Amino acid sequence: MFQILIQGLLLSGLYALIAVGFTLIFSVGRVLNLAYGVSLMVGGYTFFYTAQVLEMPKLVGVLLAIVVGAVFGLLKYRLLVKPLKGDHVAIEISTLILAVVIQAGIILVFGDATKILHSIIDGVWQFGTVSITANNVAAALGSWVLILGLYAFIKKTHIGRAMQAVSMDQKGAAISGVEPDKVNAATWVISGALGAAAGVFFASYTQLSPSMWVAPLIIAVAIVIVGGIGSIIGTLIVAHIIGFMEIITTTLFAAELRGVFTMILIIAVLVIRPRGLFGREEL
Amino acid sequence: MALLEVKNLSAFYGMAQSLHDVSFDVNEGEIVGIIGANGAGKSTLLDSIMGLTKTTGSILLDNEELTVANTAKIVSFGVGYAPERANLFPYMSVEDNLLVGAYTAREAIEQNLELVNTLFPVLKERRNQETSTQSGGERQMVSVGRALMTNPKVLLIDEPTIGLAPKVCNDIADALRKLNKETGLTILITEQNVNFALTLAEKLHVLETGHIRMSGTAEALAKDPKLNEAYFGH
Amino acid sequence: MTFRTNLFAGAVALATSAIMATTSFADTVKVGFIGSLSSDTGLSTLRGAEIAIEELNAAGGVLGGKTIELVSADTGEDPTEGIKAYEYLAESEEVDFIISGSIDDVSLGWLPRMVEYQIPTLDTWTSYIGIIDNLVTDYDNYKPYFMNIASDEALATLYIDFGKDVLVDQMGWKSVVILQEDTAFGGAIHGLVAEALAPVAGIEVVDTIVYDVATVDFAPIFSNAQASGADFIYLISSVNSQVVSSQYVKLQVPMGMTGVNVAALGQEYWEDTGGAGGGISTLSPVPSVGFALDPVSQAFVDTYQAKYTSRPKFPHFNGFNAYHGLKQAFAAAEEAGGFNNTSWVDAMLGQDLVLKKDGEMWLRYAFWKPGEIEERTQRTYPHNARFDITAPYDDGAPSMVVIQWNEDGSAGVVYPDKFKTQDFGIPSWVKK
Ligand SMILES: Nc1ncnc2c1ncn2[C@@H]1O[C@H](COP(=O)(O)OP(=O)(O)O)[C@@H](O)[C@H]1O
Ligand SMILES: [Mg+2]
Repeated sequence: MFQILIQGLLLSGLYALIAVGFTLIFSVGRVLNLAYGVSLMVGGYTFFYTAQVLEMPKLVGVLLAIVVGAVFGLLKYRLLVKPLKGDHVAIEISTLILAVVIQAGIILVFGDATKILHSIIDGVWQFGTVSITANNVAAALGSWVLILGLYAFIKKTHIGRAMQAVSMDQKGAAISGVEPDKVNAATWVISGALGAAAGVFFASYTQLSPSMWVAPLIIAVAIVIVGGIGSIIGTLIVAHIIGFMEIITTTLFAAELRGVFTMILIIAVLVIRPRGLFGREEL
Repeated sequence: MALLEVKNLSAFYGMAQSLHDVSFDVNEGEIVGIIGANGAGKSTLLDSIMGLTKTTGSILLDNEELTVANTAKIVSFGVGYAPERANLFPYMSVEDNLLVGAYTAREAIEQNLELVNTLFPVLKERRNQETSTQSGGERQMVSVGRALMTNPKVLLIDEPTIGLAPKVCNDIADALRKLNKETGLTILITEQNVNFALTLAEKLHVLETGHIRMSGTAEALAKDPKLNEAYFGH
Repeated sequence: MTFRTNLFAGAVALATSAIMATTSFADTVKVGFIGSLSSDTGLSTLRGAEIAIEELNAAGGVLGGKTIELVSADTGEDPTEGIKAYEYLAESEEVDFIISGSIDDVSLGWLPRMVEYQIPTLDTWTSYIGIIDNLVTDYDNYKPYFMNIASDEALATLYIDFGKDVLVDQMGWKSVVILQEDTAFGGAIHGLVAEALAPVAGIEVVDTIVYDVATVDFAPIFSNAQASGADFIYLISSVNSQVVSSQYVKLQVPMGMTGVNVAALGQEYWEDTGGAGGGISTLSPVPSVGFALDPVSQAFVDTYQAKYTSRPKFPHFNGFNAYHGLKQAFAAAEEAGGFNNTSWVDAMLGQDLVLKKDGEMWLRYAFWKPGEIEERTQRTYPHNARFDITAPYDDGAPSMVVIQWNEDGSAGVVYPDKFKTQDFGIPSWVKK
């Protein structure tokens, strides 16, 4: 029981962090950013290169990853999303193509062998049959801090409220003096930065590989479908449902069914509540 | 000199032209009404002032040309807008809706919030309610309130009475009158409800299929046989 | 007269240029490489072949002074791409011989094409016994195929000995929990371990945990493994080996773990895991990481390291196989007068390279002949590398060794004794 609680909390925190940047873009920009997983990959490789190859301090690696993720998000918006104004299918296809192109680029620069990141924070504790690493605790805590910080930012700052406003009514936002273009750009920057931070943690859990963008994208899409694309708190809750379900399945039933229950949940939610458990598309 | 000058304004939706060479002035402190039937171009006119349509012609606010600016800039120049369908943010609280309005007028938040709260005391009580759960009258109040939060020199209101009960219409009329009297705010209001417009506005323009057909004071127009024929059928 | 001379001169010129053209064509022999050009595995084979070709060309060429030209076709480790790559080598490039660094699925994909084109082909990486079984049942069609790595059955047999000699006798382990990735490879190896290793070595299989290849978090899986009460974990992983083994290290799971871990086969494993690979052990074909080398193989490594600075910085076993195998293929071609006849197959079967270290047989590049029965397993392995699975390994190279990575980043061979450079051990955080 203790094991499920601890491991569930740790994994769910990571999943929430992965999904939240994706939710943000969909809610504000109404775009399925299929290159979202690439933000995680870019973050992971940036950290790997600075902290592990150049052996700079890990904090520098994390910060640089976030900066690169933010810039990457801005470039995606300026060079891809904005010129394709409003054409959702074209945006979705081109973000997918971008993901594949960047995958090829990563192979070119880093090769296609998978790499393991050092723990960002060292240390491990044993409680009976449960091992807890400081790294995963930091990832979960970090994700809580980032998500709650994001929540406060969205709710309590002018730019955050403007993001919500754009997500709910573009015309209403414009006549309130908000420039949707700037808010969209800011959203892509924040989403890119969150994605990169999630990528550092995700990669430190698992591995770096040129195809690592797929798994987090699936996690994000799953959480967002089940949650109903939209609220940050909904994302947080569903991330915990999926994370705990995975740990419970693995611990009590069969590890090979890890993803199956998640898929069943997604299908069930789609059938019973097509708009998701917290069904709405706005932040 | 006029606060708002609209000169030879034409507006287009693709190939279709919805406003034809519309010209009129609004002086500081005035309430001006635009009346016209459904489809006459009232909403198009206000949207055009906000830079939301494709236009030719000129719109000056305090000698500042608005047609070259984007909507956010126009708001910061001092045009507040309460559009026909309100365009509120449905899952945000009343207060947050108002605060978004203050996006370009952050230094005047307290004072404008105070103004909105005295004008519409019910909004203060309901400040934590999501606007999606509010009545039509309250939403109209939030809409006007949000426009006031932009710290406007001129307030544009598009058919505030649409679908509202007479009692609520009166409340809104009272509030607007009070606003105009006490703060001297200039108001440009559109209406199909001619009675409502006549009781509120001092000057009126009659819009028909995108043309201004008639202009005059409320008194003069109330007696005009053509207007009576068109809107009251006698 | 002048006119006629000119005409004649023109005809001569034409004829000469035609001859020149054909000679220049006949002056080269084309070798095709098939494999992934972006994986360490594929590159090891490619580079082994490149070095062999350079040496053969520098020594005056082959088949009467011809130069060898190498063309490569990328499979991207995808079976469909692999089929296209094989067709490209056969039809567009019309190669004489193909050297392959393909993984199991990819080789299985293009194998029917080989049967169709009948191009002599040497596999250096896959050890899939099913391919050798094809030669057993349908020799005539499959005979251009050679595999110079010991096939699965041979690997497994020797590996069971490791279980008995080391895991049971030396470590005193009596029960195992198996962690198996949910793949065809995982299933096959699991059958082997549960039905052969465990019963023969007297180890009880307490539990088997099959996990999804996309598993992000192994913490609950390791918790279950610990809760099973087994003495050690047996890991079977080929797809995502780094994740599971690095989490084993990061979580400091307090149980010994050994098994099959494909990622740990290359010298880059340490760098790739960022040092989170200490204590991991796996079986490996030879010459493995940490394997003491004979002078000839060492010379190959020296050439390799002088020539290539990008990864893999040290050739994987299949790089050695490609280097020696390609030379043998050309030696056979010299004897047979080329590649496109059955006599090449016979000549290839006659190749026998014994590499000695300190006077002892260390590695051997030779092939099992059709019909020849291997004593211990009592079956035939036509065209498979001639391995030896019985100490003292004086008839061939061992089919595999067990290697272990140490917490300081070094690696060594722990089994069999003849090749051993260090003892099998458990990570420092595991209490004895
Ligand atoms: N978005 C639009 N696209 C095309 N035509 C429009 C659009 N909005 C309004 N129109 C047309 O412009 C004319 C004026 O409409 P509108 O300004 O909404 O009138 P009113 O507000 O007076 O009812 C109508 O003919 C209407 O069909
Ligand atoms: Mg209208």
